[in-house]
Amino acid sequence: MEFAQYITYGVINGSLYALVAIGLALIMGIMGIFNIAQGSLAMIAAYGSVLFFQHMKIDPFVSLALTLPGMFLVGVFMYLTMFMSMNKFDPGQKLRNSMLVSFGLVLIMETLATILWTANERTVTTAYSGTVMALGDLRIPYTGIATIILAIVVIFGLHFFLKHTTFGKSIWAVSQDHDCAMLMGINVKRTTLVAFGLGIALSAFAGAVVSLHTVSPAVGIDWTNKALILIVLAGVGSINGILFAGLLLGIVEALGVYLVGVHYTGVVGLLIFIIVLMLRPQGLFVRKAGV
Amino acid sequence: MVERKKGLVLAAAVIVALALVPFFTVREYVFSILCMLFLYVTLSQSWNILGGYTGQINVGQAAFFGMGALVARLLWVAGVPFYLSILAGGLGSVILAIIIGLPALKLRGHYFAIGTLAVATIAQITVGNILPGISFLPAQQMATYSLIPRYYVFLIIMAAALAVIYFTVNSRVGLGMEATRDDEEAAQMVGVNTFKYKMIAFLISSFFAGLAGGGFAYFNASYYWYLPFTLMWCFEPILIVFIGGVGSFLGPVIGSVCYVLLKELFALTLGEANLLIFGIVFILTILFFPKGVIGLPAKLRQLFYRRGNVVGR
Amino acid sequence: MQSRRFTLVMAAVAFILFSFVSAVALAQEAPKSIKIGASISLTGRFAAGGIDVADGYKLAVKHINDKGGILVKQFNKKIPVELVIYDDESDPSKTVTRLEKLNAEKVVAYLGEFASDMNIAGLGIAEKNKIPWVGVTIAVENVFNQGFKYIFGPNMFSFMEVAAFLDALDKIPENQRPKKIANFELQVDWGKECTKYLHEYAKKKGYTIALERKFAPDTKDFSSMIMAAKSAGCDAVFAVPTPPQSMTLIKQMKELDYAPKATCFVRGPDLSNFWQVMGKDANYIMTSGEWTPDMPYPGNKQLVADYRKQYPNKLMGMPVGNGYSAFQVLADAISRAEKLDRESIRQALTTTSIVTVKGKVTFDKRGVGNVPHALAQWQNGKLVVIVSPDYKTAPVLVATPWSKRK
Repeated sequence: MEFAQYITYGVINGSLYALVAIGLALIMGIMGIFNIAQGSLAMIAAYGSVLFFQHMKIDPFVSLALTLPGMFLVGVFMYLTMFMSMNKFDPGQKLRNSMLVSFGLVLIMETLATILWTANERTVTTAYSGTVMALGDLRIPYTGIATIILAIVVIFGLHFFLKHTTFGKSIWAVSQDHDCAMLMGINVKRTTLVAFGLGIALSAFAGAVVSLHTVSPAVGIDWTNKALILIVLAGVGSINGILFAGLLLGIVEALGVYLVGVHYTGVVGLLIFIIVLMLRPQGLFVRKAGV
Repeated sequence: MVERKKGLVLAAAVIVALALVPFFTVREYVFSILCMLFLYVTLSQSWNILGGYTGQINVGQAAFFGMGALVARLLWVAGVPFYLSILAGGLGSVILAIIIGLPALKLRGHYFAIGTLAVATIAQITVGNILPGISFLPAQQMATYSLIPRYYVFLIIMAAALAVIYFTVNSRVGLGMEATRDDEEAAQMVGVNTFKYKMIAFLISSFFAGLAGGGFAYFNASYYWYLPFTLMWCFEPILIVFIGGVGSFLGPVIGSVCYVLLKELFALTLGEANLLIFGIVFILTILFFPKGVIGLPAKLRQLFYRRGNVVGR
Repeated sequence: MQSRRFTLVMAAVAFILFSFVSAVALAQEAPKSIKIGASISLTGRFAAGGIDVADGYKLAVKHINDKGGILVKQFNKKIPVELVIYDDESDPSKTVTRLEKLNAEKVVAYLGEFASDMNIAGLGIAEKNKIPWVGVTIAVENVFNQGFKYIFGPNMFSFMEVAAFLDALDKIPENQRPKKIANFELQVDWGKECTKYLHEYAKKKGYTIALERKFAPDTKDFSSMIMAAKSAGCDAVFAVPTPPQSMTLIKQMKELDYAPKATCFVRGPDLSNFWQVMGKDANYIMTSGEWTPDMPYPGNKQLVADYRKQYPNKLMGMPVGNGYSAFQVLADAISRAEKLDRESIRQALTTTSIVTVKGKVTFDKRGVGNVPHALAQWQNGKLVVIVSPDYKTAPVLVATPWSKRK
């Protein structure tokens, strides 16, 4: 029973990892932009959730209706002022320069958050936090169930959107062949703008869940690190794979507790990651060799 | 050829001038800033030979920096002469690089980058668990601590790193490295052993990162053992190289000067908002000089040329 | 020709004499201010505590300068204090250069900062530069066993936190008192020291440590530790987690329905916004009670009132009081030193005995502070002191099971 309990937490943690990584995966896989500020954007969104809860008693899952469009606008602003100008670069330089610019954004957001909201840790404690669904001895927290459902809905929803809607297909087309898409009559500028905004808006989902854990200005880069691992594990360009990669990492970390104790959990997860990398360098969930 | 000779003479003159600094000032603050500057030049140049010249983005430099610091500090505090300890630290990093490099250098692109980041994270957690405490200098070394020998150690490490890397990248080996970077498959096709060049670059890179770590261990009076393993030491050299100009020899030097001195200036004058302002300046720099500060003259020339054209018309 | 050289030589001699004389004259004139320096994390990972500490210092300086400054006998007058604070971005390497910069600016003493990574780097520099260093939250005793002469820690140490926790258990009526303690050891030197003292003191007082589990500063999932403590039947928990870890621990303890009678997390619950963010789940949680706004020591009321006036929207954190108290200790030493050189101030610090806003502070030979060891507990939205050697405190509340809380 204890074992099942560990795995439960592993699945919950893994779902959260996937939620943080999905926006980064979209922007990196589709647009070739490496946005290491994704975790910090989730931090900003989480502060949004915290503040809405603290001052207006709005539940983090409800305030998504406000934080999602808010983060979308932040994304649009970021794209227009900074990232659009990088489209003229070759892929390598685009990746590098976007990484550097987003590093600057990390500094700006961290400092801004410290000045605006102090660096004290915050968290949202709702009426239902700490309450659980009990299956015999197994206790599954409701916030955890919400995290898992959110991760599944968001990630499969995004996958469906990209593969089966006209606009989603046009995003995909632009990412495959920029010029060809333009010839086909797709408004490339608008499409990339919306795609980038969408990728940033996804950080609001992560933010809502992060706010139920703990948030402080400096947590952003930790989440970005986790997200990077997931992206490589899944394979760049894979959307569905992010969820499975997240679950895999979460469960492996939970098993690590069993094997070597809590203080080496991080090491076990990363060792498994390195082994996967050695055996299957293109990632677990894409077929052809990586970029 | 003449140009290059001139450059070398100039570089030697700068190093000699820096060596004379302690005869003109006794302000320890100046030394401590210059020590940090030399440390960052060494670390970023060591990153540049692998990342800039050979095209392998290593996001795990902290593992090698930390390894050098760990070995050097352990031996030195145990009584081994310092110059031997620091060399042992460099060798420790090289051994780590062989263990990691043999499998990892077969990875390409993102996978090498994130794989090395994972290695660095593992190293940080493991060292933090095994050595959770503080490394203090023994009392008698504390009593005789002076920054002047530290200054020279950092200067010598930096000069050695610059010299070795300069002559490597300007040799046949350097050509192999650049061929590997520009198109690995094409290079393999014409018979270049790209793995060999990647390995050479990785070993040189880790050796000097290890020496820089040894310098850190010599410089700091007391610190947590895990400190040189923190991920900051992974990110900063990369930032510096890209600020200065990646894959160019002077890039890391210029980048370090900008990064260390500008940040210091901002921190001393701007208080709580200093990182905010630095972040904005940083982003503007990257947006307007996408090839780094080293691309600045070319950019200016381009602007000038364009304007000239307009006038001509 | 001859006479010209003579003139030159004379001019030179005159110049040297003049500068010598003026130097001596200047030396006797009182400086405009007493310069004290601190490198503090105002940005980055440790900014929360850093900014609070800085606020405490600034308020203490303001209070002293409002009265004209510190009386220095050598010049027979009051001299105002000039506090120079530089940001180190939560980066210990920066701490080193900032402190060297302060040394170049000729500060007479350093003040410590909040996070231990930075403090450890800083106190090495203080020792090397022979500048007295007064810490504010340097809880690791081992630091003071190195024979350093210039460092002083006027705060609670690991052994005091543990002693205060066991005193709190002692205060619980016999029939309800916990007997089996679970020790969650954070893998840093502070955690190790706490474990050492927990074993030593628990044995003396007749408590058993029924479970011990290690965790790292980056641990985010504590379910295995909590379940182990629960199945071992532990009815008290002690740990020194990081603030976010405290929050996660409490949330997971609730999820796993584990409510030991006494829970003490030394870091996290001491944050002023803890109740605000954790709500009723914070009830019964014990934490360090080093300083609270309600302490009856002299000057504390004025500190709290002025802080609230100056920052009406900020919650007042424990580091504010600690910073204020540390500055009181230093200012007292400077006035007793009667001179403004670093060595005299260090000498004076060794014989410190002053009642600050958090109680009486003295130092032992190593520089380890002896301060009142106090423990606090969250009781219905208020952080209440439950253990103090100096005054009568509120009773210790025994935690009720989660299912019985409303």
